[in-house]
Amino acid sequence: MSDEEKGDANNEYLAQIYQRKECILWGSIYATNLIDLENRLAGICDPGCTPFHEHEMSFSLKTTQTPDVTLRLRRKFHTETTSSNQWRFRYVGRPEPDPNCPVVVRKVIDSVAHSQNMMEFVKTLGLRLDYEYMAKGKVWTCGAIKIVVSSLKRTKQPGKYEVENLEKMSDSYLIELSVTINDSVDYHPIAKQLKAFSSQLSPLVELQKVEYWVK
Amino acid sequence: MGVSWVLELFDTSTVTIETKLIVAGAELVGGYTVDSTPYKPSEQGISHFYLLHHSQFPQSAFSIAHQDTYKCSPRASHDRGFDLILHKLNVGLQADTAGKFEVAGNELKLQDFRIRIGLATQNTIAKGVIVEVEYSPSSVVTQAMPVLTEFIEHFFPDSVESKPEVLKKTAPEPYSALETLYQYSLLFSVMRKRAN
Repeated sequence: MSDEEKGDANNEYLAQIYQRKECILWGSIYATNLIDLENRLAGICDPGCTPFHEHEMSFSLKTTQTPDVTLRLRRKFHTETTSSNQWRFRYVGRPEPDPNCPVVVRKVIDSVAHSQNMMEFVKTLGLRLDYEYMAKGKVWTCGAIKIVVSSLKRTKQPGKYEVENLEKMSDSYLIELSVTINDSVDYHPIAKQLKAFSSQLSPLVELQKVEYWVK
Repeated sequence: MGVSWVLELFDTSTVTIETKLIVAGAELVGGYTVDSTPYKPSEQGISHFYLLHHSQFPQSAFSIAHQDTYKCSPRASHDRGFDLILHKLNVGLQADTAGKFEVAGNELKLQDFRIRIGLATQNTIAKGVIVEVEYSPSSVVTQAMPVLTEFIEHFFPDSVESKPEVLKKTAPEPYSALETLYQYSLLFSVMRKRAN
């Protein structure tokens, strides 16, 4: 077996572990109505929720060939010390072109990384920052379904993350409903389940398949 | 995990070193492998860097872009999902399989030390003998160095002067596996440039 074949076999093995399919829907709710949604979620989801406050940076590998490859990096956000060296890399693939599927289905690869100089490291990879935001919110689960409710903030000055430099992006909270499944599994039954679950949050939130790739 | 000193030995073979250590009371524990793949940029603005794996850390991958010193070298440790993510970046970064280095050999245990003795190859061409001596009880370089130096002095006296940069610490900082892989990658760079 040549080195190239060995490399491909190795990548296939790793893909079984790390490459997943994500079924996802989005919606939003005014901050004033958030409490109603939280009560609804507390009633139908698994007991308890997990609060989080994270900093997401979206990078692209810009080359002369198109399209750009986008990677998202996330870490825990603290306004006091922004020095968490633990990051999560996420590659999000192009959505499946399936007009009959009620949700967005896309390939994702997650990887946890640790670096004392992550910004220099991503520069080494040729990645350039497109945008960044801070997300603060809560995560609920209902079996395999993950419900993320968060408010987004951006910094007025890139690189400065003190409280006075942060501003809200909107008066609404972003709602994300997602399930990740094994890449080889048929996603249609899961997509239907996710759509059915989303109808339980209606009329508080109307979750939609946002076709963000259509310009 | 302890502190490791990775060195290259000349004019010897893996069997000779293993015999020497077994005579001193070492036991064979098993095999081990280390590999390093260079990634070459295909566009400007992207740097040359190495992705390394060590069989002692099977679910981890280590990336290092060499600069003058370890401290200023962009580096990161990841889970193996990163191997797949790198594959997605192949429009800008391509694995140079011809430049891939592999070390395969045996691991021995001698009291508190783990010694890994392997043959480094680049595309099946033997490039040299690499020995990794790990002092297991401590993961603080300043604590481990006196006894690690004594071990190297005893078994590999010619190498004691060439102490790796990552082991020349004065503050009691914790040691990480990335520093072991950095030592390997520096040795591979020297071997790569050397004619056989």
